[in-house]
Amino acid sequence: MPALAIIPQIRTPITIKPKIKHKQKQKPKSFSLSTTPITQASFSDPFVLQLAETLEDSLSPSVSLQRLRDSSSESLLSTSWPSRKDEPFRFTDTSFIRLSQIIPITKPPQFDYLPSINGDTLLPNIVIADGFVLNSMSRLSTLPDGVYVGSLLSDSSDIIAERVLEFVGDFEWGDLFWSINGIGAHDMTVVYVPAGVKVENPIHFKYVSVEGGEKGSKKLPVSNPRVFVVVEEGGEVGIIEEFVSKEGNDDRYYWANPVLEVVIGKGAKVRHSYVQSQSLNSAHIKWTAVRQEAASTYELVEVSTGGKLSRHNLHVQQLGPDTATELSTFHLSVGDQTQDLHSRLILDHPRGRSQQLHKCIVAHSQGQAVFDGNVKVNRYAQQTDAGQLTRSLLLEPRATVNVKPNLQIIADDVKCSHGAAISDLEETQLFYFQARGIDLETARKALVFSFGAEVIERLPNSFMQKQVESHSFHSSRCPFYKTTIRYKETHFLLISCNSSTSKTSSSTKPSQNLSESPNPKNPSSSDHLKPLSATTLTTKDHQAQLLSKPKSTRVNPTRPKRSVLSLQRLKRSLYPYNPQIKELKLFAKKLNDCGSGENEFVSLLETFPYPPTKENALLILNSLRAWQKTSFLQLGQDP
Amino acid sequence: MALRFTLSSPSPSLQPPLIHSPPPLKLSTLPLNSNLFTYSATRSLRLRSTRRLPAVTASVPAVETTGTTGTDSGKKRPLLEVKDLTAVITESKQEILKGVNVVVYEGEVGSCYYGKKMGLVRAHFQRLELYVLAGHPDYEVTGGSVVFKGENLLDMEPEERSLAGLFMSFQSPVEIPGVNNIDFLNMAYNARRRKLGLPELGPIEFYAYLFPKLELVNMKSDFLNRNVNEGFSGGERKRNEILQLAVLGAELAILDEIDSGLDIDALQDVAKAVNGMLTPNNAVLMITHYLRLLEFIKPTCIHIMENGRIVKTGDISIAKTLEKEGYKAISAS
Repeated sequence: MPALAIIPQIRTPITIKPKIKHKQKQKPKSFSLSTTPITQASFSDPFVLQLAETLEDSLSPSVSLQRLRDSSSESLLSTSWPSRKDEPFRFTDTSFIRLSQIIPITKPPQFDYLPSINGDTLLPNIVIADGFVLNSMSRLSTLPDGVYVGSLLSDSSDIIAERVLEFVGDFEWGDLFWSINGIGAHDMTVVYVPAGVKVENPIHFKYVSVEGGEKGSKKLPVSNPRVFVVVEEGGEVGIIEEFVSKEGNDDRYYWANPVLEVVIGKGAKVRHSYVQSQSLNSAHIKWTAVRQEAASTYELVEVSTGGKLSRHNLHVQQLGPDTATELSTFHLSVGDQTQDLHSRLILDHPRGRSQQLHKCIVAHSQGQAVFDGNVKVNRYAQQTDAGQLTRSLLLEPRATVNVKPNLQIIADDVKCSHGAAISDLEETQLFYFQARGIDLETARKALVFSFGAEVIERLPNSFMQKQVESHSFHSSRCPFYKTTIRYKETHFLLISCNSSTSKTSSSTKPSQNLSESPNPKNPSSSDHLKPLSATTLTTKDHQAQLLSKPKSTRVNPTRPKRSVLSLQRLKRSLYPYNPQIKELKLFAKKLNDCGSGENEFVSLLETFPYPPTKENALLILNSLRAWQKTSFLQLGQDP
Repeated sequence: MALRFTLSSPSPSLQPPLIHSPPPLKLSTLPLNSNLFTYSATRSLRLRSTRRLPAVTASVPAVETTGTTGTDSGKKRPLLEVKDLTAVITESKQEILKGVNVVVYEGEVGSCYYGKKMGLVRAHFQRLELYVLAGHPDYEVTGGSVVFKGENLLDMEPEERSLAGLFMSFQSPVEIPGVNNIDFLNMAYNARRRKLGLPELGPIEFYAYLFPKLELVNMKSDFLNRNVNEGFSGGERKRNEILQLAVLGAELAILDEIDSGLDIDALQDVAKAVNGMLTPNNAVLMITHYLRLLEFIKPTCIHIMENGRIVKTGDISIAKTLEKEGYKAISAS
């Protein structure tokens, strides 16, 4: 790197260096990279520097964001583009972004593009297109008094701005992408909930990516939306973030780099839903940084299905005791996608409670899912109750999942648990379905459905659940799903008459109450998963699946562990899965049973059930008696 | 040794409160020659279950190949014929069934007992027969034939066997978290309807059909929304199995230890439900350890199974002897 070459020369006057550093920090507001000598950085990645420059040039100056931009630039100077050797990116390949021509999006979409309004007009919503807030599309009239949702720049009240700026630029755990957003964000949208105010309807942020590169061009437009949420003591709010691309743009190339910062005051509560369904050729790298004061609650439900490279960095910092954190994430990889969740939960105060559930399905042989769940229970976090569970479903051969659940516990009076399971669908369950007359395909679909349902049901907003459904349903990548299950939402109404009454209310109208605790149980999970199963299980996948499916080596945990020297260690079937095996077995039996006459044998051979492929022929060969084998081979050689 | 009890359908009249006339709805949903056989030929095959069963007495109304056994009138047709069935566990190639010959006739209720001696292997046998009949991939048939209603059962996939009218209830049904009971039942039921060429039922009609069955097994309707077998107690699981049997209808029902883990009330409910489903065209085969189930569901014949084959068949008197003197008395004779 040229930077490296220069540095040694400049550094020889070592005594001068610290002074230079000082000066650097007190530079005037118009901080510009181009005037800074490279002396400051020990390792500067020229690519990063260039990117930072382009981003800076695209910005209009802003007083309120200056501090953020400064600190981001500083950190960028010493951060290089992540490679596979850096631990946080060990499993995630970011070369897709690196090798493209990154173009910052400088202005909001001008043409009269109207993103479709949500069907539910009760929700206050904001539309952010390519990082710019479209005020014309947003509707914020139904918010209670005192609640402010809007851009930082146009905020008139100083209190809010002050409050926000206290926290901005303070984050020391960020990485390169955090800083890129810091430099490149045009504006910051602020949600401010004053003390004691409970916002009933969740605020819906719809992020639309409009600009996108065409296939073949190396252009990758990047957008940097940034949102800051402050909830004062005792306040409650729900945030829904939905990431989509403009309709019809489902295969464009772009890079969305959003950041959401949340500050939760004492006793406050934030319910965060995050649904990502962007283009399958896009890069989506999101940061969510949450600060929780004492006795606060943070709930996250995430459903990520889009993006060629989709990464969610989640950081939750505990700043007081008795907090509650609940994280549920569901990642789905139907193409050659990478879905990544890197989460970090830092507990420094006692009696915190946290539960993390991560589920992912990889349904493509080049798909990948990554999970790195870190929970740090530090010394003063006594009596913590932390749990983490990750379950992955691999539905195709060569699909990959990398999970790294980790708990770092320093306190000595805690209750922590973590578990990880990676499997295909369970055979016993599939057999149970079959034993009741349900064929294998339907059983697989039902089980895949139910796998994701556990997280999708937790979306507090029934409308969002339908949104997840409708996206996948209308997306062009999934065939129409014909199923043996026909469900209407009404059947739950019927049941509710006889049993509990809570169901009727949920079915008749999507309830927006944030204050009620259990989620209204909605139309059956199969409804939600129908589209997902459709995307997961295309017919093409089935064929690939049928042809070669290695038998899974599942270990039964209730059985005593096998000794290492056991010969039966790996249970493998004799031959790979082959749907024709039943007929072939019968055929082999017939061959074996026929008399010793050669003619008889030959005539039977004519009735080979399938055009003999190599596999089938080998199978038959293995089961024949010796003399039969020779005649079989002889016949095989005949023209 | 396994005692097999076969109950013929006339005897339900002897039973306590439990007579229901077979619900006509049920017959209409069954295939034409639907015979509910309870074939409790639970050869104790150890299916992955880590439970060791001490003498499992499976009541397999396995009718003998000799055919008559003197229990049924000659005009009953055989529903299930098992000839010289040998089977092994797929992985270890351990032979489990060594030439089982069983015939189950229509209208029989049979029960199968297993002798004490086999221990684990016997437990295996019980499961094995069931699972071989149901088509579990862990067990492989190496010889013999099984003919169910004139069709070769071994050629069929498990779901085809079930659609053909063979119902097998599991002793420890597996949990399926995430799939509702009602969804599951609906799927299975519609699969069966499709096989029969009948139009499938939507959720509302299905619920209407289902509701009386719930009463039959004495379960509340809120359990329909729970996930299949998730968090169910033993009794609830068994009743769930019986509910599935009631909903799907079958000609031959094999009930694997339907009484284990049940308290007296649950046992009576189950027995009531099973008896209610008996018709002259059905057969039930029960596998049980204890005689008390047989007090409620009277078997027509009892088969005793030992070492992979049926060693004795008789009627209920054998059970009494067994009770008094243990298996030694039977095996000696």
